[in-house]
Amino acid sequence: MTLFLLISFLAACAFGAVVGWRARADDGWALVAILQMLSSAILIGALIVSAEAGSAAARTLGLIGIVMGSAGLCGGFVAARRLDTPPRP
Amino acid sequence: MEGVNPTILTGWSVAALLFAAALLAPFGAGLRRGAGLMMAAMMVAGAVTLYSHDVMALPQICAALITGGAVGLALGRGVPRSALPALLSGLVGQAGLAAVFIGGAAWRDPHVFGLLDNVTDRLRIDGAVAIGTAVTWGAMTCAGAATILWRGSVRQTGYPLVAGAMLLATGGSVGAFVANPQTGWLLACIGVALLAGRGVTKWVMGAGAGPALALVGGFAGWAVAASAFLMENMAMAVAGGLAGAAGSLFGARLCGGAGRKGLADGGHRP
Repeated sequence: MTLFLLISFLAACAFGAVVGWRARADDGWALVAILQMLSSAILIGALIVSAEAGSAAARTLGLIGIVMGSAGLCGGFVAARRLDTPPRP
Repeated sequence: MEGVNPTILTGWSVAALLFAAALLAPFGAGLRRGAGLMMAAMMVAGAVTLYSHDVMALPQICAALITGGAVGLALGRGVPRSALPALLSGLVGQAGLAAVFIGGAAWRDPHVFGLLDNVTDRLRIDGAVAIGTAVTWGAMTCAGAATILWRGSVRQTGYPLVAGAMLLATGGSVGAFVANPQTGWLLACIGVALLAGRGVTKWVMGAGAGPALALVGGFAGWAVAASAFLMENMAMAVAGGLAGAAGSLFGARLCGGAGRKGLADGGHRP
């Protein structure tokens, strides 16, 4: 399982490196918006922690992580859509 | 790979492909489509996660999801357009803080996540490495995002040697935690990582807030990847690898700064 994870991770790193190398400086904020949404994947980890944690303290930490990850995902989604809209005169 | 349910494997693969497509979308199809693809990928990954685990606290989890979603929507809609970069910075820092919490939860309940050695009942080395790196990258993300929020668009001069020394100290503290897994060393990792995140971000801010935020997004990606190895989740590993590599390389290319000749000006694209 760890080897499978490692291979997937390394393939993703290679793909991400190509994207990071080819991106132009003008693409900066668009890339940042997508990176922010990608980092919201921490929500999945928080879901696992809350689902499986045995102690109340660990479950509370997981639930706080879910609130943060969910806020990041939804906030980033709306922010990315607004960034793509041309500003009103 | 044996023992992985084919349904889960298919879901993870679909989520990974959607993550990769979303990362490419801003350069062709548009940021709007990229955001949609990313939301679809997260839905698939979340559904597979809930399917593959014995969920004991579903009402609390649903309440937390709805609360977070409402807060995120209110922030995304309510903030003026000029403050969107600051909002993105705050949300990236929030993801880093969540990584610290996840590392803390795994440290609190290591037996639940299978991180203890069956014979010695001690924390396994791979588990200690995953906890240490997740917490460290998460703390660096928090400090970096706070530095960007605090300084705004003001260009400032950091010292690359100081930033490098802090990164080395962070690696050393993680090594000490792995060798001797104690709460004190974990707190030391967090403290040193906060200083390192601040130092590195301050240095990169010489090139502007955009590259600095891309680099901090890369830190958050590495934190997600470390958490993926902790939780053994492929969708998180792919999302973390994509964000970590793309953000770190993009930030490093542009960190030459306005007065210095960065990699971005070195004759290659852009």
